[in-house]
Amino acid sequence: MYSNDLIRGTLRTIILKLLSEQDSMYGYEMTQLVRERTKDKIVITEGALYPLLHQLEAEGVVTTESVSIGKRVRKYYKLTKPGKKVAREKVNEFDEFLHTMQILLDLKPI
Amino acid sequence: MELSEEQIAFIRSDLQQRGIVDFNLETDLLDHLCCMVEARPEESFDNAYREVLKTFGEHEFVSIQRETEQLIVLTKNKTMTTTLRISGIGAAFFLLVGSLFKVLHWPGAGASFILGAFLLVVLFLPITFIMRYKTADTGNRSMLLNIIGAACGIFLAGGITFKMFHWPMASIMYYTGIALLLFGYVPVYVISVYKNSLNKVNAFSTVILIIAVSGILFLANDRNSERVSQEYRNSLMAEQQQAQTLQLRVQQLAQQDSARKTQLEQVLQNCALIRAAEEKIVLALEGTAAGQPSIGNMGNRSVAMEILNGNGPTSFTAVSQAAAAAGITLKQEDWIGLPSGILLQKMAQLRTEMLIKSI
Repeated sequence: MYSNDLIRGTLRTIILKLLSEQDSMYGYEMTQLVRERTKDKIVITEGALYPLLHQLEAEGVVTTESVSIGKRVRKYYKLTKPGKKVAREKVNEFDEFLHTMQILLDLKPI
Repeated sequence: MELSEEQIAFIRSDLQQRGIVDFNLETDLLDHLCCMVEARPEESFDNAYREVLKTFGEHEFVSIQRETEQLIVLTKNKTMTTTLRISGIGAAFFLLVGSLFKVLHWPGAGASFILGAFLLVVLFLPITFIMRYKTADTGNRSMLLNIIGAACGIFLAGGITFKMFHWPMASIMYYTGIALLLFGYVPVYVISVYKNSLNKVNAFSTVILIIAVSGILFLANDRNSERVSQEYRNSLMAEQQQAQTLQLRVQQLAQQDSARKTQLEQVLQNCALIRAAEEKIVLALEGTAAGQPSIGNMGNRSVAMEILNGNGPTSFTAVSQAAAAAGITLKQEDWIGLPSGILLQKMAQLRTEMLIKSI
């Protein structure tokens, strides 16, 4: 598992990327998907996830839809139209950042 | 395993007991916890829930809620944050420029200072207060601290501004600000922040800084106005004895020669005129004149100059005309920028000189 510092800066990018692939997701689903894909190397904590999701909602990047699941309510998060653009930009920015870091740290290409 | 209604209700009330009041967040966390419990189908509900909670810290839920609130406040109040930044930088800039210009006696000092004070009192401090109120996390004490802090700032900034323009109530506002800082802010800060703060060294140095600053603020206002008029009073006593002897001598001379009498009476009248100007400055310095505040360090360099730069019998023009009648030439540039105390002494010396010259 990577250090919190590394993950914190990229969490927004990770969430936006997931939402741009999956149409709509709920919080637990996001944490599980990230665990699965990274083989537990990146674990998103609830303490980081929910404040971010609520902030994204306040910024108008995502909207929520509440669906009744059995006896409880599940909130699905979904990118808004401007949110999709933000997601693309974030991912592109990170891609460039990775290239820069590769050059900077003299790493072998992935 | 799907959780029963009772089990869901149990988790919900547990969340509420742990301080979650934000309904939106509660929905998220409830579903999240339920999912986590359901992911352990082989365990009993109680065991599974206990294990799930272990992955959260003791105050984790409340801190998630707090962070969520803070992020949302910052996001929703972007305009406020921007106004805060701009007004803060503007206030600091104009106050500094105003003070600098005031010391150098350049024009525009007053306008710049009042603009800075306006930004500080009307925009910066209230917005700081509101923002802190919205993101406050530890209940009543930190609220109280914010209220006292904002009030301190408003009183101090207002007091200094009023002082610069010699408006009434300046000293009362200024001292109220200092008193609030020392006897309001510091104790509440010590009780609330110092006790809970992780970084005690930081909190300690903040308290010491506040006390030091209030001491300096207090001295800055007090010392100079007192000292200036006391020094002047001392020199005036010595000067007055000499002046009385001279006046007596002048009157004796005048009785012998009526043309000279008129001339000398004119000199005495001129001396009285300068004496009146001195009196006006002293009154302004001591704050005993009707509606005149006591002038502290902020304005004392200029209080004498401002009176002399005015019109009428207490102006520099009138004083230099009086001196010229006795054959003494005054250069205004020699007087510019002098502290009130020195100017008063110069004026007293001038009177003595005028009397000596006319004998």
